[in-house]
Amino acid sequence: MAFKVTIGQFYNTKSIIHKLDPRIKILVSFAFMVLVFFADSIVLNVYIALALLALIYLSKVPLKVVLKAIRPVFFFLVLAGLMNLFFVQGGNVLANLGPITISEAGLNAFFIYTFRFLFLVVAGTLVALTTNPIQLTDALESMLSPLQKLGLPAHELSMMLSIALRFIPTFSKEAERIIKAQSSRGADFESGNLIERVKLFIPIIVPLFASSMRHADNLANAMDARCYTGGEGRTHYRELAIDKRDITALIICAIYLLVFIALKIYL
Amino acid sequence: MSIVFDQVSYTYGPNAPYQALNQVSCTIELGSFSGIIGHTGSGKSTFLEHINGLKTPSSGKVLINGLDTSNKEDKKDIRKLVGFVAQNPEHQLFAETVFDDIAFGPLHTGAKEEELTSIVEKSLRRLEVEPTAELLASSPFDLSGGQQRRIALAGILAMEPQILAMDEPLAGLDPQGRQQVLKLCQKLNNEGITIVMISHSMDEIAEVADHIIVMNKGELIEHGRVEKIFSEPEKLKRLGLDIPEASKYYFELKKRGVDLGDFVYTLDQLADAIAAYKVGGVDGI
Ligand SMILES: Nc1ncnc2c1ncn2[C@@H]1O[C@H](COP(=O)(O)OP(=O)(O)O)[C@@H](O)[C@H]1O
Ligand SMILES: [Mg+2]
Repeated sequence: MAFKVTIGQFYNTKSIIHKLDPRIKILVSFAFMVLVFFADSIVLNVYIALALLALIYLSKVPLKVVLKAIRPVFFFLVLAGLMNLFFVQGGNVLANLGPITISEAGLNAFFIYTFRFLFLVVAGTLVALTTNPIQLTDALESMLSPLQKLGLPAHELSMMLSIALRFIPTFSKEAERIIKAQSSRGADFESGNLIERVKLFIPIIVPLFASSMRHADNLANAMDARCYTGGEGRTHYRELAIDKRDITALIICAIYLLVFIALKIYL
Repeated sequence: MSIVFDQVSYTYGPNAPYQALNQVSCTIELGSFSGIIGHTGSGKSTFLEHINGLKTPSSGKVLINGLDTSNKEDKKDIRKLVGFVAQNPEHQLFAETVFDDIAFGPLHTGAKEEELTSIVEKSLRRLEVEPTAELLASSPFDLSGGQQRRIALAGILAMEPQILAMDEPLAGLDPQGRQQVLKLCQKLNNEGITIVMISHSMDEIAEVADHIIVMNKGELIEHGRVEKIFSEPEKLKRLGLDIPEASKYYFELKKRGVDLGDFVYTLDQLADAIAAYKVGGVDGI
């Protein structure tokens, strides 16, 4: 049994997309996702798809990697698509396969919803592929900080998130070691029925839990020893700053939006 | 009957800077006590994990008493034959009671319920721990670090291995704990268990081992008797490795004209040699 864990999906090509401020990327991707829901004609959908293709091209992330990243939702995508195709009825009947009828409206829904869903997933994936997880948590903190006045612990939330990310590889290594140790003691992880296998989780989970407690303790001590006091007045090693590149990106996005609105009204 | 490595190579992946094991061949006789020394990353742990089949060679063969570790049918027999003591073995403790934890191995290798009590008590006694009812019923997580390590070792001994592969079993213990565990290892070896132990302390290795395996960048550089390996300090120095303190004194004294005679590598030997040294009929140096 091997544990291979990669943190997030970050794929660093150092492209201009990678260098954009993470906050801009998050905001723009949200806006884009909303936009996708307004794309109800073929032209608008093509327009959306073009933007995504351009972004993938600019990010220099190989198409293969993008496809691999969205593979987990592919099954869902196909299932949702087929449901639309078979169950949405209306307009002319195009085909009759026994109890199943495919109608014009169904075919329409199949295309619109499948692509809509695909666009959403690709947009989200692109952010994940081009943004370092640590930067994402920094961005999260920065974007949530206005809510701090309402009592939301923005800094603590993002700190928790980045610590969790930091420890994923540590724990996957630890899990591997514990599995080795227990299999040396005769635990057989490769055969046996379901109940036997589930029982064998205990000798892995308990030491892993104990080890996470140890790590948490050590980390807390180390942070204390460095006088860590939390969010108030803390600066960052890498400050997030909006620069010319980000402004340019925003302007391009604004133009893109205007063209989208124009297409929607006049076509 | 022995541990045989035949042209064993092992690679972690295409991106590894060098092979973790590169054409390693050696024979470790049963009953011996072998120390493995080498820099961090030299492949010591990888070598050790091949002994009980946790890793199987990318090429080459590992035979334990004639059983091939690559052979899936022999896996269970090899695991029973070879006890593997991972680094910080106490981190593998998991059960609610000391008894259950020690009994885990025997239970999974086919011991009968009614034998368990005697197996558990016997393995604790072998480690010079008195198996009181109180101890057996306590949670392993409530014990001190040194005690936890003994419980973990007992859990491995409970499988009655003939070979013990130990990855830095002394790491993280205080000096007293190190000496105690070291003595226990020696005792187990005297009882007939073959021991292969990784250690960073030349002094401790010199005290217990009879053979040394020197690893560097995945290659087995040397394999021989302790006195031979440690009597060639230049070779070890080139690999950034040291010799035991006692041997350093031996060479330093020799340089200053005091020849103690036979080579020494433990403090006891050094003390004896100095006590026996006579200058022109006068005792002592
Ligand atoms: N899980 C692993 N994945 C990839 N490379 C590894 C892994 N474990 C060890 N290595 C590499 O294999 C080599 C030998 O490692 P190891 O056997 O652990 O050495 P040692 O125990 O002497 O410190 C090192 O170069 C190390 O970086
Ligand atoms: Mg090691």
